[in-house]
Amino acid sequence: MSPFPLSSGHSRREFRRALTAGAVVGALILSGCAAAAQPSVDDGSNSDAILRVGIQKPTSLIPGNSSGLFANTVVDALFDGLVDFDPQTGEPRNLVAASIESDDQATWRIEIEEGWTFHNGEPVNAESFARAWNAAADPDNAWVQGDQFSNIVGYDEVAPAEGEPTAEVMSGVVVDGSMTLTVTLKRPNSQFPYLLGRPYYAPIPEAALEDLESFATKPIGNGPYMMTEPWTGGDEIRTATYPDYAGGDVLNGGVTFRVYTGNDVAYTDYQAGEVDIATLNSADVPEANAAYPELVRRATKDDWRNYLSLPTYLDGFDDPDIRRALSMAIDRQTIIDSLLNGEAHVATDYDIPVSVGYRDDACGENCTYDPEAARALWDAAGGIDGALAITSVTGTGREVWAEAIANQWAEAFDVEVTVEQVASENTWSGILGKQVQTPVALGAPSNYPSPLDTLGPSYSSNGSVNGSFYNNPEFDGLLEEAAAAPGLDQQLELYAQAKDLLIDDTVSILLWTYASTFVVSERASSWIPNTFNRGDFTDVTITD
Amino acid sequence: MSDVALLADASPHRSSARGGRLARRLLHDPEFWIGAVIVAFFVLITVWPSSIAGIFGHGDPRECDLRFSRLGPDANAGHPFGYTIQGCDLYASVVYGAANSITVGAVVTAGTAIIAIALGLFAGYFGGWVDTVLSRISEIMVSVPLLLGAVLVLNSIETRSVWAVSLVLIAFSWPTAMRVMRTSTISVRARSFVTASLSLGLPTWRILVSHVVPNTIGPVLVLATLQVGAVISTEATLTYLGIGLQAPALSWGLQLSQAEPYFSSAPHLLYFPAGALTLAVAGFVLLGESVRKSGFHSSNAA
Repeated sequence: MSPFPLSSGHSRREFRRALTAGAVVGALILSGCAAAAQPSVDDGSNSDAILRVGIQKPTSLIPGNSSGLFANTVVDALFDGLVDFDPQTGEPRNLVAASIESDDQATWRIEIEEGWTFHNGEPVNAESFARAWNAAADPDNAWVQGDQFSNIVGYDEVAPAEGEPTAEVMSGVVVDGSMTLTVTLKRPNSQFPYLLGRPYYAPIPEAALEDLESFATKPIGNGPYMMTEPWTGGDEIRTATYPDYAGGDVLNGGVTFRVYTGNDVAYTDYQAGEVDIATLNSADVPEANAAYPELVRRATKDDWRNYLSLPTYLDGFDDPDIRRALSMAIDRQTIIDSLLNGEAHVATDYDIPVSVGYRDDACGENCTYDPEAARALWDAAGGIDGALAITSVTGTGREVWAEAIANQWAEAFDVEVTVEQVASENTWSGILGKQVQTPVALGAPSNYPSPLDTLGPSYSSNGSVNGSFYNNPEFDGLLEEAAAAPGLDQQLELYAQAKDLLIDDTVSILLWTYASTFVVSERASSWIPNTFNRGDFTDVTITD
Repeated sequence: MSDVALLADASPHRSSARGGRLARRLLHDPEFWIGAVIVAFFVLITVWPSSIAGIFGHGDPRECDLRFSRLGPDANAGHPFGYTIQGCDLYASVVYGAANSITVGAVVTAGTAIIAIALGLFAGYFGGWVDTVLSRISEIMVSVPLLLGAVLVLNSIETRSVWAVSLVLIAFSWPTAMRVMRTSTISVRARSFVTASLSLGLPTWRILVSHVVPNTIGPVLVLATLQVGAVISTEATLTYLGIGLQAPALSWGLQLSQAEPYFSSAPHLLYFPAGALTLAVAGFVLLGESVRKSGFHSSNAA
């Protein structure tokens, strides 16, 4: 089959696809690349075809400056880090690394595999990683993930909280040889290999720092896909397969990320045949199930959680019994059945099911609907004076179930409960700045499959999204112990103890967990969701 | 002197015979009756919703049982419209939803009319720089499309009450009626009874209130009655788009926007609020149309 599938169809879309394929071939020829356009194999797939993936606007395409699901997805496609995650178990496995070892969870020796190159031909070596991490920590760059490196020795000299920096690079990152790196952490962290799989730990080439501005719009990575044109905030991020990719075969010709303002918009465009993979809002799932029964894809395990953060600094909310009463007055299963199409599971632990060590029965009666017991607990603790409110984030659709919880609270405690809204861009500043003084309906995805992913940011006293203002030295201590513990069993045991503290204190109200749900087009139906490596599209074969 | 007095006396708004003719025309117009009955019904459920909401036995729109979420109409169980997403009685929700729509319609129409009458009167009667300034302002406002302007302003307000939405709608909808008022004031100003009042030395406010306004207000009032329906549907549109009223307010636009994902599986969530909205708008339009046809607006030319 030729790369120009004009004969197979006459629609304008086919024609446009042919043009795209032609453009890619043209680009390959122009760039003098020796790799000829590969003819498709017998199953009708086309290895030159471009996969179109629906996302929303990424915050930044620079690894150290990117945050959020969408930026992570694109960066993950453009860059490969030292590890990626096993799609089944979530365990980190070596990718660019040849080996990662530590005896004390504080000093990590990393060997890098030979043969990786950046899209501009530069080799990937130990220096590439040291360069990326030092650039991210450099306060002059002001990259958002800078403080992710704060546990590395020497970070405080590069980026002191006060005063002038006294060093250019972190002394804890030592390049021992061209392919060997030693990282020394201030405090041991057994979960460090998980962090190495995060996009901001990806390597960057020398060329990046020579021209940061053009790197920001057209990053040069070492991943399976390379940008074909700069992205300055438009509605498409175009990539093509990197012919010299060292991480294995790429079965398609590239990925075009289509930038939408919301999942619902992406779904509409999916229905029009303009995008191959779109994430579904839960409200759209029943319709998609009915219309495209063969094309709806779910992550195999729940990778999101919904919960209510609590303003524990307010009278009433500072009492664990009140918080427990609020939790027990919520009929989670009925909300799941009636409003979430049954596609969620009652949360039973303070992390996310994809995390290693999630327990199915930990929360017990605190998360079990029992309005009478809740009322008794509420009355005994003195209740909360005046009306209650739940705040929902605009555009998330959470107000539907927030209203259901409001109704259940109103009925259980005989109080007035209203639902308020906060604009999504003001959510965290509002919660952490104590302007939003109500329980807030929140959702959080799993970033990496360690309990620390949830426990650290959400509940440690210095956590970045500790919206319940939890401050328990015992809990912080357990997290540190777990970070220093050598074996996985020991780590999980300590994390379990830490989570038990959260359950006893009902720090935030657990609701339910659910799996990301997507629709995929016929032509890309070989795609399966990869919860941990969200930017991995290399296995997708496309039939045109 | 007596001539002038006679002329001044002939100020036509006093003619009760003509008023009777108007009333007769209205009473013989089926449009008026249909419109009036519908409007009266909606005003009733605005003022006293519990009277109508409770007739099937489930009069509290906040009494919900999630297990019944989105179930269809079941007249035997006392839920002739079915259940809402939250499992509340949809009939009661629709009845209670009238209040916000009708209130917005009434407040915006009254506010628009008051502003339009005042500004149009000043611009038309005094002329000169007053007219120039007011007319230019109205031209600026009229050049901003209502929906665009409302979207821009409402988007920047975080908590939007009935009053906030009404204010924004007033701010963008007064110029049309103001220009009508201005034009008819200019034409009345040149009429002999105004000249007579002037020569009698009546104070300006007296001339405006007793002679000009009664003879110019007709077209504006007709515009206003026609406007109520339009305002109600604009409010529903804005709310449906997510920038009007917010949950937990009971409003037809909100009920429609919340039900949007379920239209195919639970169509009653679409039909009943949309039907109520259509009926209310139609009622006000019919009423306004019959008033317009009766010749009320041209009373000063009679």
